[in-house]
Amino acid sequence: MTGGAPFVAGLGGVLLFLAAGRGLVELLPALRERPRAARLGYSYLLGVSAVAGSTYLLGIAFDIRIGRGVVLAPVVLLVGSGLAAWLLRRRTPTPRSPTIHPPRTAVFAARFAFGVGACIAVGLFAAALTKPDLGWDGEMSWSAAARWVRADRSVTPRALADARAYVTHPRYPILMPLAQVAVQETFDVGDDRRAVKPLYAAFFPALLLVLFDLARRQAGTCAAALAAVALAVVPVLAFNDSGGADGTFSDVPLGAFFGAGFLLLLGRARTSEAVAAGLLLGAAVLTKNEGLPFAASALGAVAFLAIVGRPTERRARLVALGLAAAAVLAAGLALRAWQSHIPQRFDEDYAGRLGQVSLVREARARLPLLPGAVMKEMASREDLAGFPLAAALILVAGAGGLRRRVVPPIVLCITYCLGAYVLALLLSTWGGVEQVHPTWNRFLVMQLSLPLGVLLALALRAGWRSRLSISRTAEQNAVTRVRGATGPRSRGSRRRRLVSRVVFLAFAAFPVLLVGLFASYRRVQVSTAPRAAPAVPGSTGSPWKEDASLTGSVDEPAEGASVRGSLTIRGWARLPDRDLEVTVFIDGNERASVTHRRLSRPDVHDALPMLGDCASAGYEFVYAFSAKDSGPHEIVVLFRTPDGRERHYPAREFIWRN
Amino acid sequence: MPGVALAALVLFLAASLPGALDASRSRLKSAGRERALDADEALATLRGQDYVAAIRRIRDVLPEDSEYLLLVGTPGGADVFVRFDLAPRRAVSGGAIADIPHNVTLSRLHALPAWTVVPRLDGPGPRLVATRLLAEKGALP
Repeated sequence: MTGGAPFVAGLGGVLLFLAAGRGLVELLPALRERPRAARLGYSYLLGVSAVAGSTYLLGIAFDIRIGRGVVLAPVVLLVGSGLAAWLLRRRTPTPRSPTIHPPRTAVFAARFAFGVGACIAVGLFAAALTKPDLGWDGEMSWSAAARWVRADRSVTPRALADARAYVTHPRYPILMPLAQVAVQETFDVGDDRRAVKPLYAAFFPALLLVLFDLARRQAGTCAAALAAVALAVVPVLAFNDSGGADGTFSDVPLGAFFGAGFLLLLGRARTSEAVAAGLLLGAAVLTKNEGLPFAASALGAVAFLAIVGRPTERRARLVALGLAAAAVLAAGLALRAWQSHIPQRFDEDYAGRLGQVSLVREARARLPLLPGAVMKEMASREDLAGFPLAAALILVAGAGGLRRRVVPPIVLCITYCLGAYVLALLLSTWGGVEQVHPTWNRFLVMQLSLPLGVLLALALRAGWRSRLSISRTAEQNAVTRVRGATGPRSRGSRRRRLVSRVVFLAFAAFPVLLVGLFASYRRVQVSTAPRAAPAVPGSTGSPWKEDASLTGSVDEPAEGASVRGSLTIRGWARLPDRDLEVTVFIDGNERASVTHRRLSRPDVHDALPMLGDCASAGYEFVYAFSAKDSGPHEIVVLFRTPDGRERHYPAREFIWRN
Repeated sequence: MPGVALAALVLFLAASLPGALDASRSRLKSAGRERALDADEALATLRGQDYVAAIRRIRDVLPEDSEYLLLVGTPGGADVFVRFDLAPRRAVSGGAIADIPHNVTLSRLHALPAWTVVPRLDGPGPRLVATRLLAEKGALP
């Protein structure tokens, strides 16, 4: 494939999603009425959500064969519906809203922001179309999943569904890999890496356009433009192949889907905004594992706003919340159904470890290390170029601008997301806080960019107004009108403010309580699970001679242990002159392990020096869990020598659960 | 005090905007040079000619709908990159190279794929070896 083909496929793919999303936007009045640039941003996000999301859901529900027809059907449907809606609307004349002329400074700021964003986006697209670098996670998980899905034309390809296949993070949601497949199938391109990169690069301008729109409605044009420029120049967001838009990580798409969905729900609570928010939050759930806790965080924060908000708007907010929650629930159930076909392996398996590890002990050990590790990441000039310091200064200095009704839910949502991040860190199999290095900047800048951007815009607005003494111009009036129910909090009584603060604290503490209860429940569930009678592995008729003198041991799992997720069997097996071959039987069957290796066992050498060098006396087998494995099991480990002797190590029972 | 917010922003933009624009310009410039490369040539700019040639040879031998044994834990994450470049062929973990005598044995041969890929980013690139040969020798030939 020459350089022209990825160019056509890459840009064609972006236009494909834009067209589908534009059709959808035409059906949603709240988005249709927004400025053209904002419509473009929403169109792209909604287009990817609708096309890749429908392929995902159809694949899960009906196991359809993924091909060009399946990809193009929603595009044609959405474009056709949008066109029909547009034509119908043109036939019924509607009164035009009065034209608002923003002040010259606002126009200048907006043009400056668009200019900077466009300059960076051009370089980003140029790199996407010519550089084949997909980034570590891109090659390890996301783009690899796209190749397996495309080859088998199924959302559960054999590489993911077969426990024997060596796949890292097989249960990662595959919305973005499906978007890659959509581009490749539509334009019939091979495995050229460059054909799919513009799909990710386009999230950068889309995110900035959506940020500008959402921030403008809260803080005005100038502040929104400045906030958008500030985020645009953070190096890690654009020119970074480890999570930025110049790679095939799913972090920027997650940040765009989640942030746009959440902030739309903080608007005027119109039904069409809620539908768009539901689609975007649903897409976030299907984009990354973080999507579900993030979407739940968004819903929790919006619920808080509905409770403490003005009674007159409560009903509309609850309806909007219900619509968005239904979409998130549907996406979550679909994801769970899909994951049930994928045996878990080569993954941190955070959910599986909840209830297995002591959160208090992990918190004591790891949390003291967290500030140092985070500061180290935030001090990186290459990745962040001083953005954290500037953002902190802006937020502190512009704190006066943050006294708005929309701010507490944003802070609550960010707190929830941070809580989810810290919980994952506590459950991580990585040592200490090692996981902070590859994840913190992605969490802060890519995944939380939109809510953070709106906070920055509000803080900047305070500075902007104080410097230029802007009076209530036409723009401010327009902002106030658009802002509607989320305007400045001034009329609330002291009692009402106190109640709001108590409710805020209750909302902030609720997830901690929920996680604690869930962890306790899981612990009880594990300890009370029934055990079945052990099966006896068949060794009758074996040509091998049983020899009890073959030395070895099974160290893990312990007798009667409860194992969640992947099963790891460890031990050692050695004679003085050689290591023994080790075979594991689970319920009498030799099952394919996802990994097996020999380990050094200096402790064995220290205890039994006569065994000699124990550099590879240890063994470790890891087995993936699948749904049918749930319940009691028995393992027998067999040690063998090349001269025909064997020893069946005494059977060991354990309980296996997901 | 609110003016400090604007000052902080102006300082941040003054420090980072030129870098962002320069990064964009350099990418545009290099895109002009590399725009006509085909998929393999583009990949060679990232991994080298030897690597791409080796991947192509392995792809010729292994059908797309096949499995292979992949030795893992190689320097620079070579197994991750090779697994991606050989996808949709499915990898089965063969453990580390040092563990070949334990993992790739004659008694296990029936359960293992016929071919083993030894990942490597530098030099001659990844190698394809018959799994039986590995099992017989107990080491890389």
